[in-house]
Amino acid sequence: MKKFVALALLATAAIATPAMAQSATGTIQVTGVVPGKCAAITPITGTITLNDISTPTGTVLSSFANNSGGLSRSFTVVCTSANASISVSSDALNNSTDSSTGGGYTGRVHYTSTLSANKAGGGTATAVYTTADVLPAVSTTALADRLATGPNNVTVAVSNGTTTNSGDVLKSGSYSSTITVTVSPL
Amino acid sequence: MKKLILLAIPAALVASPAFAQAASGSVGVTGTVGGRCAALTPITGTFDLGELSLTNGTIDTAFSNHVTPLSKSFTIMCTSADANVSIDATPLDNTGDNSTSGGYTGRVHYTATTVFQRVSGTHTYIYGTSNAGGVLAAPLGGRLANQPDNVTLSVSNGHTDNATDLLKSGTYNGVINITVSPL
Repeated sequence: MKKFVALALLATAAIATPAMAQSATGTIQVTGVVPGKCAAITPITGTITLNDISTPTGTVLSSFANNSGGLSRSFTVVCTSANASISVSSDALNNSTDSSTGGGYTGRVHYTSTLSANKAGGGTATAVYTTADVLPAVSTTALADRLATGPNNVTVAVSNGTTTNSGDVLKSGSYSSTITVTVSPL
Repeated sequence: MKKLILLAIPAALVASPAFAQAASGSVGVTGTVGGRCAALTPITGTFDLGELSLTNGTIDTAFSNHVTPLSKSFTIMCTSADANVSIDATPLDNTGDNSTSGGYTGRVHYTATTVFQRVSGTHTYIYGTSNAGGVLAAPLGGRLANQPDNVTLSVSNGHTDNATDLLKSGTYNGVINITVSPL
């Protein structure tokens, strides 16, 4: 009988102890955000130097062939979004002292800015802006793709100098303009 | 603990738009147009006056025997707001003997008149070889008109130092120089 009691107690204790080792469990969520954003890794700045923009006869040199340093500038931009838009606008090249037009002369030269962006899937998207006496709205184009990664993936180029009246002689002086470039996440 | 999580979620939703940044910048474009003038039609040619004398041997002041017209037009372009014009001319000198004496002369004077068309009005330069005043130089006083044949040169008023002098036979040559420079 004693043997029986002893065995019974031991067996009970042995079984009961594991049932009392209670665990606390749960799950912790970890979240993060990557917003759609674009950033210029190389600053979108610089100067395109056209030098003499006139022909020997005084009219506009439409090719800007006297430029130094080339007619385009490239920048490195990153965008996290699946799509992005590129926008470009500018004012005309205006004579710093007299940009008026009259009497066969002009102090204003119009031109075209072509903004292109490399797409991740290949090819480019372009936004084209041509100045006029009444400036048009900003030109915006969606990439319909991710912006390609890599250096110099966004390029702006100038071309096609014109005057309002094609035979006008350019007034001597300095001419300047500013191109505004924007790459936005979509 | 549940309340804390519920508060944190709205915070994340608000934060996202604030990060939707664009990459933007500007590129300057510069150019120049130097002040310059160019002859789009060359300033050259010849006034062939033909026989200079009247039947009595004195100068035909009207150059009425001229072979070519007594005026020529040129097209000049200037990019500058004004231009300086310089004109001088030499008399018609007999290539063999241009002296004057004894009632004869080998020199014929004349007037070179140059009319510049400006954007507003005209500007006229008159140079007489008998005045021998050196180069006539003066600003145009405005932009040169941007049009063909905007400069016209004419010769007139042939004369001799002594009005009754007889012209020595021979060939007579003179030169008119015109310079247009940007100001």
